[in-house]
Amino acid sequence: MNTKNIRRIISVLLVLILAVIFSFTTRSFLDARNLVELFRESALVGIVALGASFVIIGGGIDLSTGGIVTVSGLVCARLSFIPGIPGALVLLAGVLTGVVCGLLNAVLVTRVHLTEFVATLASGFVYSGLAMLIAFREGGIIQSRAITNASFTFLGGKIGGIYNITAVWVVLMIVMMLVLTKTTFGLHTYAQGSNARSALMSGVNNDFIKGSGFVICGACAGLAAAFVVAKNAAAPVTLGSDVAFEAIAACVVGGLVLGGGRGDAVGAFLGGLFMQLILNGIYKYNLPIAYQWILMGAIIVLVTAFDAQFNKLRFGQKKPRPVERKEAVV
Amino acid sequence: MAENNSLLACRGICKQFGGIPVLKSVDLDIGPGEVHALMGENGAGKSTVIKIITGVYAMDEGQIFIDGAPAAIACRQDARERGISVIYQELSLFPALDVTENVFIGQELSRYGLTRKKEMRRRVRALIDKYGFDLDPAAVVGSMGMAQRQMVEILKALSMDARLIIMDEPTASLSASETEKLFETIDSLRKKGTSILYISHRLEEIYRLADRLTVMRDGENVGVLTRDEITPQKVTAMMIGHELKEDKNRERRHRFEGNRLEVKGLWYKDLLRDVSFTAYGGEILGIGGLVGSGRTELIRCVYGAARPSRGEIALNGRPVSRSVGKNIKAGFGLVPEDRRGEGFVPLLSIEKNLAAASYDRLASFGFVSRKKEVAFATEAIRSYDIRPPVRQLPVGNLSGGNQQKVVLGRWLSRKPRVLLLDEPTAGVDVGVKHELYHYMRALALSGSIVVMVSSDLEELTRVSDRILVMYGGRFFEEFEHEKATQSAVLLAASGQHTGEGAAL
Amino acid sequence: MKKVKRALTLILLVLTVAALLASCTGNTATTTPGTPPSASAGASPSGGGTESGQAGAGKLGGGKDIYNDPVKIAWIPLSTAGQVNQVIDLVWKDAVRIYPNVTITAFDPGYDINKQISMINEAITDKYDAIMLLAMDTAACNDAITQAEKAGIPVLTVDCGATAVHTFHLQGTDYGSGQLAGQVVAKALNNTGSYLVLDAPAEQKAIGRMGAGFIDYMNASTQCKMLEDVSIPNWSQENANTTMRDLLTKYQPGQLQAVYCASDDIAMGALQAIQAAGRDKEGIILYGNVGYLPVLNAIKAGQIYGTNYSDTYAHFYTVFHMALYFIETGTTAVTAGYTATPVVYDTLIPVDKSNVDYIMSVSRYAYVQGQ
Repeated sequence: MNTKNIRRIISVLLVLILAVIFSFTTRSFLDARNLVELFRESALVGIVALGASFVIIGGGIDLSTGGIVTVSGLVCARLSFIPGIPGALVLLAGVLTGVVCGLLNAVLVTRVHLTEFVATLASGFVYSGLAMLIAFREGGIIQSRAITNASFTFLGGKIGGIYNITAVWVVLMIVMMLVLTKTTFGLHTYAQGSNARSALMSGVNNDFIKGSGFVICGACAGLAAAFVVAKNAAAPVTLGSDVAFEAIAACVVGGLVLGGGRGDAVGAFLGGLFMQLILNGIYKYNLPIAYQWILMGAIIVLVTAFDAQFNKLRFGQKKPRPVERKEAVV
Repeated sequence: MAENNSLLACRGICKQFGGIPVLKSVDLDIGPGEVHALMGENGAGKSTVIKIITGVYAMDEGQIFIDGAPAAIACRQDARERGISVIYQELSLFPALDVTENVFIGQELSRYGLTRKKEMRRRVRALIDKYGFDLDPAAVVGSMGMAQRQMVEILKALSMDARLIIMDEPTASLSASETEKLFETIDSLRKKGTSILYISHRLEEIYRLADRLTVMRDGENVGVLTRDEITPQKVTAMMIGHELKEDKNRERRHRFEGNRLEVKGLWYKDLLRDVSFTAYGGEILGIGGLVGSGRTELIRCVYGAARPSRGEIALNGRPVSRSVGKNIKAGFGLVPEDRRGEGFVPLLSIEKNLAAASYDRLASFGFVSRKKEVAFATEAIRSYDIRPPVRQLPVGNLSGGNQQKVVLGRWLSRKPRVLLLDEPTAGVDVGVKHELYHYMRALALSGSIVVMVSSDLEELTRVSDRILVMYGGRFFEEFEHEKATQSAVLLAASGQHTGEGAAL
Repeated sequence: MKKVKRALTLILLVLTVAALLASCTGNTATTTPGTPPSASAGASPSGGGTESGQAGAGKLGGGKDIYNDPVKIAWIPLSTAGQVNQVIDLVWKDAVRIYPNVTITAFDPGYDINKQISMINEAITDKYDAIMLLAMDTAACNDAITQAEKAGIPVLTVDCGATAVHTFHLQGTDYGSGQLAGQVVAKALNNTGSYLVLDAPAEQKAIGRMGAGFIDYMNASTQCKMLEDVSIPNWSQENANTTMRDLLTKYQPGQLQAVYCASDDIAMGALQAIQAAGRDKEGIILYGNVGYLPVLNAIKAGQIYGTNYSDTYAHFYTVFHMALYFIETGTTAVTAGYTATPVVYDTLIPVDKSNVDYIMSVSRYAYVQGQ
């Protein structure tokens, strides 16, 4: 049995166990509507987590996704009021906004050489601020406006009983799984995340991989935002407030290791699902929202402690020895 | 002109760093299908030679010939294209990827943007079969042992059509059985005509593998030995050169039998096997041996920083605690090998670094007395002549020697009963070295136990009153000061008994 | 690749099983829309409840028997933290003591709009009989609110409404409160003088428009001059205190006659600053909003001029009663055919020294804080 497999089984089991517990102890968990809504609501954090997985596997972190979701959502909302604009174009604009934000992150990290943590923390604030600037106002006061553009709100609806955003989420997971495992780009992302210096020596373009990760992450955030705004038919300025950390938490629960090199898109998907599952359970048992945070925190501690132990067993016979150190004296 | 049958020939390579010559006209010839060993003490210039061959450094003078034709190697890529590869140990592998992906990283085969995994796997499989390695192309590197990881590294080199593979201390992190596996791999490479430049401190490995041996000393090539000429005596003599005859009949130091550190039957993982010794107050006990022979682990166990799996450690009959904090209170001190990482805090001031281990004395009821702290630091700076004598200066800004003085001063100010030192003078210039020896000697004379681990043979033979040489996780030979010569110690470190010491 | 395939298979398996189970239970659930199966079993002595099932179009008695049938109501505020929630909790406790067949479930979105939306959805999924909502955003909840109304669940908003048409909106202290305060303060100032507004936090001015109401009234109907309109972050007493301290150094004695505060917490902060600066003898008129006990005490002591008292207890009890009414009558915005949300404005009583004793004797705040 391979490490990857065991970790995957744990993620799946976490989801399954919660699902089974909820189905037996609550009345409405297995309700068709509940499941359909669950998969729709998970999709926001889920899609962002898929994007973030590229950054995390590549050894980085992106704290700006919340800001990107907010600003992309508001761009969509603004554009949807242009008379006659097709919904697809609004969607595209949302994704592009995310791409631009991601590019800015990439520049900050690879050109200005800020650490990822600082760069994305700062840019996240900027994106949230920009969102407030372009927000709708009534008499100078921020107030979101109901979107009536039917071709755009159509995106928030369902086709064949499944929400579009859910379908997009699943398709995106499959595509990203392919990209990560089947393409040079994906392999290089893993290589960079597990040993950046050595990846550079092997001819991996570190900056390109790092930058692309941010752009993919931004694009996903923009995409998710567009669909959520289409569904709610409004874009509040607090749209992405908790998204960044929930997406990272989703990745961690799904088996991606902060620091890079491990995990995959399926893990991020499962993590996203898991986050909403916890929330759903909290509604069903009518627990204070505080328990969501406590539960999430506890589970993150548990899985990372498990990962650490596991990696020690499987990977870490010895830490790489600083072989060159004694020669440095020369 | 280079010999035509050489795969790689270096002629008259010179290199200076900041005006100090590191290589003085070095010649090196490696034939096709040859395992060529390179030996020399630390600082002899081996690494610099390798870095020049692989294009990391540019040489100041000299020429490199490949297949008899002059070759310019300006960067790593040049070297790689000419078939020269270096095995970087496990450092350059990606644990999360499988063997095939690791081998092909940076040069993936792809079609329509998708990698051609099957084709890559087929090629890796072909290489594995050709050289008879014991590897699965689909195995994840993270779950493999060190020897297998090195095989992956070698495969990576072979996949780039390497004709010369450079291995720098490849056995440093391998167990005995893993080492044997590596040797088999090297044998099969040799059979297929791949040359290997093998750098090692271990004589026994050289006998086992090398077709020829180049010995370096002080940046010079002091000779090339063929397989039949390689004998321990010859090699050590070449490495050490002319041994300074010094006065070995100095006064016998007084031993304080009342202060003694006893270690009995110590085991630690597979690095220490049944190690026993007694150190006495008043003497400096030197511990020699190659890197990886267990010296560092030994003193870390004694200090309480590592937990031995078996064995007893006692100071004056009382068992020594497993807690570093308690040991410091009981009078232990350690000057670690990794000075910057473990010895001091670079960003903190001299005074804070000096006081770091003595807050038990400088504080009352948990509150640090600023007055005492300043007095303590001022006194230490004066006693150990730390320069510049500015209390607030961050230690990271000091020279290597003064940094070490701060580390040493931290302990000496406490008047420790046991001071353990790991490579105390590495990277320290000669003048400060002697000051450090002086402080160590003064401490010993006051009745404390001083244990010094060192790779510097000259230091070991001059400073120690007694030398214990480790080999393969146990003590191999013991030398009294009068009998200790550098070559005898070096031979003992390589597992060769000489008449001078007492075999253990 | 084997691993990936295996993992994908596992997930697909999970999804299939879940979907299968879902479709089974889904079928049984749709047979009795809007009411739990137990509803029809309970006899209804009050005579109000008919056979449950499709709600009658707005006619009284078209819904549940609110005295005997199990009724569950969702309460979805911005967050369950804060002083006002103590009062609200008390209201729900008292309410379910009187109606033991009713359960009120409080959700806590913790100021996260996505959670609030998903909680409304949860209330729909779990077939609550009514949703009482303090909307975090005027438009973002629209979709969820509309879905609830379509599902036959009346949505009642309190103070912070939404633009989607829903069953009921109860408006408490807001724009009108500011105007009312303007009338009182203008009278006390004899229509002249300079005043400050310590307003709602910048990002919440859309749901706290009392400052705007005050300023509009003063501009339209008096000669009073506004000095500044300053937002107080988090509506907090500390922030009001520090802001006021700075403003007092800016406006010397004689330059400032009145301060209008968007909440009583802000008024208390301003009062502390005025006292600390030794400017309490100038007779600066402080006017608050809501009517917390500390402010009522300060009015009694002559430190604060007045406040607009609104009985939070009664306010939320009203929402609860309205919810029961809509459940009993089976009314939603859809069944009633509303084209706009009916809005009821809650009563506001200006309190000053003359009536503070009476107000204190009936204040539920006094009751809550005395506990």
